[in-house]
Amino acid sequence: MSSIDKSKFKFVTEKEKEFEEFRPSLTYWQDAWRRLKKNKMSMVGLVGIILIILFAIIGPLFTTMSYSDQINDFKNLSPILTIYEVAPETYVTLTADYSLILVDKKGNLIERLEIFELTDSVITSEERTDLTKVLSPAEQKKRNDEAKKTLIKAYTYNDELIYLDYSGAVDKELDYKYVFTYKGVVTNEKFRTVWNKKYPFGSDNLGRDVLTRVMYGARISLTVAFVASLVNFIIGVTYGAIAGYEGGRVDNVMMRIVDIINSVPLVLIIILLMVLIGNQGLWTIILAIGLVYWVGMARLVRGQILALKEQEFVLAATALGVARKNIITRHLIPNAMGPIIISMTMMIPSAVFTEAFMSFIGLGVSAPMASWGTLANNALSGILSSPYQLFFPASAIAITMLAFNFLGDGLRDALDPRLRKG
Amino acid sequence: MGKILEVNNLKTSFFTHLGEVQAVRGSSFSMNEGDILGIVGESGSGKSVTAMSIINLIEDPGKIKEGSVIFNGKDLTKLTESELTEIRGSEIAMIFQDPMTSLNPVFTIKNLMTEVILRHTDMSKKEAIAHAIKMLDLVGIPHPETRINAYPHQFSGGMRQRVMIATALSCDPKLLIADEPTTALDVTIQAQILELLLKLKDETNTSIIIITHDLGVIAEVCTDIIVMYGGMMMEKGTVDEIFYEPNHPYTNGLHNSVPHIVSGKRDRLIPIKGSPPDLMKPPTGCPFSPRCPHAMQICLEEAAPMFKLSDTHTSACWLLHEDAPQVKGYTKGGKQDD
Amino acid sequence: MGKYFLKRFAAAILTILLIATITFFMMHSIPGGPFTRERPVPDSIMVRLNEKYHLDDPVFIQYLDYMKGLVTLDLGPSFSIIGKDVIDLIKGGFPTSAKIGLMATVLIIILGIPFGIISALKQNKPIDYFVMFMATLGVTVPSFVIATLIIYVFAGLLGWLPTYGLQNPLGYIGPVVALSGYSLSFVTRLTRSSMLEVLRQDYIRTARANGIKEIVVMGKHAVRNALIPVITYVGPMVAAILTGSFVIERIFALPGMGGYFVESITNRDYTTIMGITVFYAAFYIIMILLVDVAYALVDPRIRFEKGAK
Ligand SMILES: Nc1ncnc2c1ncn2[C@@H]1O[C@H](COP(=O)(O)OP(=O)(O)OP(=O)(O)O)[C@@H](O)[C@H]1O
Ligand SMILES: [Mg+2]
Repeated sequence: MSSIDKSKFKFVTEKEKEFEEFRPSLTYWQDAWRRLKKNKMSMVGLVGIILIILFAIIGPLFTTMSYSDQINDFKNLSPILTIYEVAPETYVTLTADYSLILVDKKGNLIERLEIFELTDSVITSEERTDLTKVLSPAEQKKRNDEAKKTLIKAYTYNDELIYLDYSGAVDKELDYKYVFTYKGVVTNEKFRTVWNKKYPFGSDNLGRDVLTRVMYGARISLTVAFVASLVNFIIGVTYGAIAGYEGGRVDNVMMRIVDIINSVPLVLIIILLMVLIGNQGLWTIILAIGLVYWVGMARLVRGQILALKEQEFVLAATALGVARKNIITRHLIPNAMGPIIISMTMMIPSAVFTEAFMSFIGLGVSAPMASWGTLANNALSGILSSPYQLFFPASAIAITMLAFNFLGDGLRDALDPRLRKG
Repeated sequence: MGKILEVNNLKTSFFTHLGEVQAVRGSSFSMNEGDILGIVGESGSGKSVTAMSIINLIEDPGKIKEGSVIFNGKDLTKLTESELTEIRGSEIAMIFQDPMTSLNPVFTIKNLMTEVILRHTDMSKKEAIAHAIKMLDLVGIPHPETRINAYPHQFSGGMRQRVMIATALSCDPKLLIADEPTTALDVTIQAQILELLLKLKDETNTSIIIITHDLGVIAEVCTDIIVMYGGMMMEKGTVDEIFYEPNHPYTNGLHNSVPHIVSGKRDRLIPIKGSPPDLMKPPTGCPFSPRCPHAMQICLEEAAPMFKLSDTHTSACWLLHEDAPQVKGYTKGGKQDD
Repeated sequence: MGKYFLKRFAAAILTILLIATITFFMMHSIPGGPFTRERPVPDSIMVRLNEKYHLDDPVFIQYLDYMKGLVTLDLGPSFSIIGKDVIDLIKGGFPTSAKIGLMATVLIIILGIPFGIISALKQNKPIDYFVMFMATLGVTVPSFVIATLIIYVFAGLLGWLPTYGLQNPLGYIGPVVALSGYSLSFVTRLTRSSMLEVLRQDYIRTARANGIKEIVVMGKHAVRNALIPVITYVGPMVAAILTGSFVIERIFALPGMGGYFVESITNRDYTTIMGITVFYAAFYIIMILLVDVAYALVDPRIRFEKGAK
């Protein structure tokens, strides 16, 4: 048997035993926050949400244009400009609908060049009508192959004409290319591509800044989402708490009503409500969404309250004669807060979604105001020629959805008492 | 009677994203045919993990890190998954704590029972059904011919546990592991189930491991007892040794914290102060030392070896070391067993 | 059991009538709605409206007439499409919508459930991450964006699919994919989490401890239980496909009901709005009823509990 230092066989006091590190005891919320912080995705979501909110609130302060400013010269400009040098120190860029814009060397927009009405004698082939129609690139290519040397348009610049045609591919048998002819000089190589500085997200078909509109759209979409969620929260929690706490007959009747509302697709009710109220601005849609989506929340709160009601601390409070209203507000609701918060977090993106959907079918805010859904809807007609007009508002919706979903998933893990240990 | 099971230095851990949970930290024991071994300990002491390690059914992220489980001459930790499934349910059967959730709710009892019988025997479907009915009858289910077509939710908790036992015994296992078979049941049902286990043991000569945190259960039915704490074995002995000559402060604590009927007199209940150790960062020394009334310096630094008090009785407590101060009730100078 | 379904059936019929009633009174209160005389519709429609709704009768009689019309599937003339009855619009549009919706449903089920199961079984492996990434994208991108992307990429840039219409069988691909995107993702996520939850259950441990082969544990014991919560999603799924079809049909220019419905909203074609709303609600309620039947077939607990009474 190994020999052990005899002094080790000495009793230790309670104090000495305390060397063992004890986990600090955390409150429910501290614990939840600690767990949430550990979850990388939900932190990404949280930061994303903060950025989106900042984007909506202070973003518009930095733009020079308002969401309704239209500049007729600069319609359908893409966020990336392809610049051609048609003459020394003379640069132009072409828009999706064949407007020719004079730019400087760095790509700053100067002015739109007047279109010169072509007479038949100038046209070499093809009918004019076909040229103005926007075709898909695939169709376009076929067309171009059929008539390689095709004059599209002519523009006046300094009393001379700039001709635009497709002849670029003739000798090389490559894809079509734009060819500019100015004062007899032919330009078919692009000079460079630059970011559009005036319209970082491009401009729409009325010459409005898509970036500004997406920022204002964020205000509208987020306002709708947050306020509707708040309305939904207030109605849902009140309704659910009363049903759950009262129980019995009251509960029965209240839940039957919820069942009936729930037996119709909620979007349908929202549509009916919107049709009924008539479109009277932002409040209509907030009200319609808020008045409908609470049923899920009510169910959830009722379930929570029913479960909590039986627990000792509530029985104790009842026995002590605490008023019913206080039991609900002080004891039951705070204890049901975890699931309520998770549900709120998920409610916001679904409100964004619903609002976008409503705007898309023409029941959203009215012009010139625009939510993300309206922007996406407006971009639809020009999708093949100006896809960026859809890309930005759609990305805004998707990023918001993602951020809230990430946060919601994290909250679910952090607030779920079943997982709470260690 | 030969050795049926021998567990050597078993170590099982769960590798969670928060760190390694050392659920079992070096258990060794053996069982003879016909023994009824009880494993007691507080919640979280590693009893269930020990049981699951025996049939090598530790689920992700758990792993048997070290040690061997020799059953019938085979080391179960070395077998392939398909060899193990042959043994599970036929040679070693298991029943679990909560009969309410341990039966698949969407299948009939017939479906669940015959599935196991058909898996491990050569019976035809018809024979399997007849055998299942016989087993149900054996465990005391009235009208088994009709009840076998019922779904689990149509049975009470006690009945479901009987169904579990019938299923477990349907392939004549050599070893039955019952993980807290009575914890979820009310007291009268508990007694019935224990009685049933004893009766069946006599009829089938199955060896049984009963896991529980209820000393009363153990006293009634077991031949040997292992006391576990913090993933380690604290004391091991026959029923009489553990009940009348307990030699570990934790065993004593357990005795004091339950109403004592076995010992004849009724003491005041003394709960054990403090809470079980965090197995993520287990104490370096004896896991019980932070709560032990007789903790010594060495207890905090080094886990005690198993001191041998008799052929059957060992205890992991430094108080038994010859240099330790004399404390009333603890036999000093047992042989260090390793 | 039969009694339970009879009761559910009666409740469903009642709910439909209730919704029709509410819709009637809502429409009655709209200025310029179908039940007022002051409204800008062509005379020919006005004559038919009066014929149909007897606008001079007291409200209650009007209500009875309207309900009688519902029962005989007479939903009145359209407000904006001269000479057309609402029921004609529904008859014309529903087959297209139903075909697309059914295809989407099949796609959701045959892809969503297996993907969810695979993802759960390979938890935290690359395939799980990939499936979950796609599924997260699917619930975060609105269906109209998916639809437009499909048009832009597959119809426009690549020219593989037609941009609109169903003349070409390939034309089904875009609408069906766009329509199923959200629910497919949702079903995948739901199946995965439900499967993970089931795999933690005691009865799975029991099956394993009884030596049941892993493939049977998964295929028999786990999947059946995991599908129970997935069935509860069928209701919301039908709703999502219904409402999704509003925009999808418009984007792909399909002659379906959803397209008519959106058009009727834009045109404030109240009779059509009313008719299609009631039709949709009834359709949805009946679908839910069918789902309940399926539910009870899968879960004996429900079958017996509710059947007992
Ligand atoms: N899947 C798992 N993942 C992580 N830790 C686990 C897992 N299963 C068990 N543990 C840990 O292993 C330790 C021992 O658990 P075990 O289930 O064996 O306790 P027990 O003695 O059976 O307790 P009880 O009386 O409550 O059943 C516990 O600390 C537990 O947290
Ligand atoms: Mg256990």
